[in-house]
Amino acid sequence: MSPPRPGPQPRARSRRSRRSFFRLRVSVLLIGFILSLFAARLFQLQGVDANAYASMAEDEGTQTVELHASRGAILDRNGVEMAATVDAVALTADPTMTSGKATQIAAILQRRLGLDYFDTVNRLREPDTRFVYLARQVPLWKSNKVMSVLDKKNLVGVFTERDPLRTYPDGDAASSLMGVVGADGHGLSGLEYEYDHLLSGKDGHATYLLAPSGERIPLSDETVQEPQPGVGLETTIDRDVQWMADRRLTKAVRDTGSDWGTAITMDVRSGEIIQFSQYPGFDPNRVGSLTKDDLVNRGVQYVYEPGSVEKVLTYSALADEGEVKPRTRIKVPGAYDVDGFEINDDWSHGTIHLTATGAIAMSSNIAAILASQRISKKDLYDHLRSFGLGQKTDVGLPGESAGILADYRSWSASQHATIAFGQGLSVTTVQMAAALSAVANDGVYVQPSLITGYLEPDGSVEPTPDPESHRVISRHAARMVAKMMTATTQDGGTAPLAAIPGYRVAGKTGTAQRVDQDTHGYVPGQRTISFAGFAPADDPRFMTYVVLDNPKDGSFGGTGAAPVFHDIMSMVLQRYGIAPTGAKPVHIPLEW
Amino acid sequence: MSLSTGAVRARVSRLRPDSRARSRLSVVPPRVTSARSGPFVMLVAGILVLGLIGLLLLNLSMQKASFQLAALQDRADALQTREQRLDVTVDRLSSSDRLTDEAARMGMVPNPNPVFLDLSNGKVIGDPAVAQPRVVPAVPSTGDSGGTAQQDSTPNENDTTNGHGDSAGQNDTTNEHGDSTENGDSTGHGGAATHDGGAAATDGGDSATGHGDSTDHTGTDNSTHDGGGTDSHGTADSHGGTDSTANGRHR
Repeated sequence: MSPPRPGPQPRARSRRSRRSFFRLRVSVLLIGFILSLFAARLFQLQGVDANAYASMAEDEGTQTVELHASRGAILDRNGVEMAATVDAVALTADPTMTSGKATQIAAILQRRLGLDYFDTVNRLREPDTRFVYLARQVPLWKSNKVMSVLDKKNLVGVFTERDPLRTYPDGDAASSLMGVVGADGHGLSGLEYEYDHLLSGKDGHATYLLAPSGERIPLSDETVQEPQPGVGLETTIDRDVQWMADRRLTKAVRDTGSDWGTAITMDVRSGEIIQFSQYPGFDPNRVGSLTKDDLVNRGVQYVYEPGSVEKVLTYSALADEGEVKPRTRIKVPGAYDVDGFEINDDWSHGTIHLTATGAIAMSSNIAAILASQRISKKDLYDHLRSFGLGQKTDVGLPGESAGILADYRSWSASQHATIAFGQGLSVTTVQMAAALSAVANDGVYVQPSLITGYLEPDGSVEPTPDPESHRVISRHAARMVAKMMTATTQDGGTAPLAAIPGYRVAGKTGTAQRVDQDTHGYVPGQRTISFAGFAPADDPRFMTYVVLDNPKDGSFGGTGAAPVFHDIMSMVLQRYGIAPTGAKPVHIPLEW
Repeated sequence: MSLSTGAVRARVSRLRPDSRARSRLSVVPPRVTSARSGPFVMLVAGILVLGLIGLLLLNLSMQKASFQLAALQDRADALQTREQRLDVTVDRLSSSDRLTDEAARMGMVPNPNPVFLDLSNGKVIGDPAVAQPRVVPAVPSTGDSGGTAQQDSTPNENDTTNGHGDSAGQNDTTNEHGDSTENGDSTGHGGAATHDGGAAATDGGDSATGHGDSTDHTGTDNSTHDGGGTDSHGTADSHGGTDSTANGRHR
């Protein structure tokens, strides 16, 4: 054991320990300070900006892909597709990349897709832009080939983007009815527009985790929201009848030089529209070339004066009120004066003696006025309203017009008179068809319909609610009017051309002064001609109504429209197996 | 603690000899245990290796599966595209326009005098009569309407007919082959020319309805497929528009 060293040692030790104590405190402070910085940063990251950073991280490492819903199809009553969707793309180009090889690219596109060579070259060289469309709605099977050919030849700068193609196998038949789909995938007119919310479905999306290299990480979390495919529409249209009627109407409009025409066929019992033709139509497979006029649905948007076809409704009201029977005698003068206006018949005559049947068959305006005076304005108005005039049918087409039927309280005496024979009120084709179907359907109005069910993506069909229906006139009155109407298509009537051998055909011609669609005023010397009828008259099944606007060849309802009716009706009766009832022609004297 | 200190002491003194004996023991070197670590290391290494191999295999199979997935997805897409293409073809072939023309070409006419047979009593309703050509309905051939609809689909037709019978992949190769040679590789075009004949079968319907169509066909079809000129009859048929022969030959 060495002796303890003297003096300074304890002092040195205490100094050293004091220094180390100081160092310790400084270090602790320093560490504490640094740790508190970390803590603050941690709090900032986790507590304050947590969501922003989390979403940034997510953005960095994930990719979201839009999953497009397929558009529902439109089917005819037999399940045949009238509108379907095909996967297609738009070909686009970046002219800054393509201008050098424009001719080569254009040559391929011309050969493969039938694009115009020079136009394509110009587009590929368009200055000051990095985006041009080369072709729209190219089906995938074509674009895939084009792209692989371009790829193989190292021609870069042409791209594709989704641009689904809506196809209508029957072309312009039913074009106005079906409507078209715009470039944004939404309906622009017709059923495509009206039911767009159902047809277009709901887009979904898928989100994947990506590796930094850009590849999907297998088995990683992915959220997929499946797209909801659009609902299909089951329509009441019979594609074959529609096509044939469309062709027949087209021919009639051209032959008569008319501005436009519509033809509609309804099942009078169910209110289902079998065909609804309109001319001019358009080619829905060429959306690019459509004009605003093409989007008009003449059958529900155009209003016109029904003319003598409306007399059916007047006589129905009279029959319902018990004021007219088929043999009711009407003494018809050569002219009739109301409020200073002289009203004549289409043919000049002195005083003649017509039965009510004869008044319909020969379509006497004066007889209709005289008969209509037997009921009040209100009675006539109420019946016309009940037949659906002056209000929308809600058939399910966009832009439907309600037509014009003034309130009876504002009717002048002359209006009461002219409305009785179909002037001074305006109707749409579908409105008038529904009204006449009510007469055919034993007096019960059934709301016209175009859609019977919604075809869900899982294959089930959700039927639409039954159309609204109500009784307008008594069954007895309806039967009487139907019988009277058969005289129109028999000898002595205005439309023997509408007769179908073997069947009893009830009908009524109409020839009215033409109303301009824009000014809503009469156009002197121009007419709107029409024919409406149903068969078999003794047990009506189908009603067809044909309207031709402004024929230039001097046609009347009985000569211009009745043959169209005849051809369409013959096909419908044959197609639906409606055998002649074997009833003998009605023989009611037209005069007394 | 009821024990007295005396008793404790006595117990300690009893223990003492033992502890003395122990204290005499000297430190011995630690026993060398030959702890056989070999198996354990092997086991761990084995697990490690197996795990790695397993991981590798899993990765490989996942890679393979993802390749397969991609391939099958491509195939599904191709088949779906093909299905759509065929659907469009069927739609076009079964369109009223074409059927009417086809029927008219075969000499069929609409019958305006149908006769009904009442199955309940076997009675015939109506008088049978020979249908006259074009009595009813007088169907106009609407040039601009029907025609344009078809015209739009004209370029498909080559593709469409290509699709018959073989897979989409093969089509592509045939076509690309034909294309890469641009002007006049006879083999490539030979194949295409046969297809062209097939297209003629469908075209015929169009050309009857849609006038102006046939010229269009001449433009596109010729430039596409007939450059090689190996197949003349297919061309003639397709543009002549009289295709009952073309039908028979190429279907």
